[in-house]
Amino acid sequence: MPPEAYDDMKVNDLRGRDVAGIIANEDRDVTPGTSSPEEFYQSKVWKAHAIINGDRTYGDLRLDRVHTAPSEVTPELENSPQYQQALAAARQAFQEQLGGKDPTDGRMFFNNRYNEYLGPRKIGNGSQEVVKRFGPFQYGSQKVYTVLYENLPETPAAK
Amino acid sequence: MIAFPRCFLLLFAALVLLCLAGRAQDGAAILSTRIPQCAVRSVDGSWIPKELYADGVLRFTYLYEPPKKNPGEYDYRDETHNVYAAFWNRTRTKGELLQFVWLRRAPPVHLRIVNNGHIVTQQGKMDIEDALWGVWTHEHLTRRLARLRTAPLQTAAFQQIPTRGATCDSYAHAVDDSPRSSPSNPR
Repeated sequence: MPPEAYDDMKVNDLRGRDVAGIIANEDRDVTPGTSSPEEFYQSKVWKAHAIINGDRTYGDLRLDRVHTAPSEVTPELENSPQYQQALAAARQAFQEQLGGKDPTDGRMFFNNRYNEYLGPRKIGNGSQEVVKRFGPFQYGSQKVYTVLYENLPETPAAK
Repeated sequence: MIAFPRCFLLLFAALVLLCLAGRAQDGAAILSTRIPQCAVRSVDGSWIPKELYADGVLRFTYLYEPPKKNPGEYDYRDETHNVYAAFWNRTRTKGELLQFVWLRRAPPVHLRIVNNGHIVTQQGKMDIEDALWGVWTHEHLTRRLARLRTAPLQTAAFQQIPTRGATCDSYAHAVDDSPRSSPSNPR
């Protein structure tokens, strides 16, 4: 199947290009910095899996639970290499999910940390453990790490 | 002949304005009561560190954003009604930011926490730490925080915060966690 075929394919509510748009927005103007281009790309693949997992779990209720950036991108961003990289990551993640592969193992939460803290994320009376960290990458003058977190005890499994 | 319809129109317009103002007031009354309730008495406990209300008083500001007809670069483009609340220390230099989706706006209201972060001040600059997602969401929240900083301060005595009358949950523990849509495999 050609890579472009995933762009209009849906997991549930989101098409491949929607996943790419969310990643491109959430990663806008972040560069590899001192990390390798491959690590930077892999961080996008993991984020694509996380977004797909949110879609598989919640479908059209996704925004009531995992409220990420919109999938729409500006024409300027759509014509940029960073969008093309997000699209490549989304295509790869779609392909892998179709083949039953998911390096995140169903996780759907991620964020950026502007420090080296590796401890859990505080949420209500509980916390979310770190599963994987990528970086440091560069955002303006700041170093930034992409961090993926454990799902929560009450989180239903992706279908 | 013409005067009567004009009067009628003016009266109608006044009634519509009064009605809209009443609704906005109702919304404000609902939110000023239910935000602290849903922040400290959510199904999964309190989302506010106790140190912020060690004296028994919660200090907060909030911002309600319905869906926008012409969203800007850092606005959502969906139909969710969002409420942003900052719970502050006494000097408004530190606190906790909660983002709610207002799922049911008529009583009994349903507010769901969909993101949270710590408000910190470093070298005189206020920032949000450890909220979910990437730089777009960070910028989205930072822009709301700038408005929350100067919004009218609300207070709520912890002991008087209601325990009933609203559904308060979060992305960590959603009350109705059954997905509405069934298809789940790539198609």
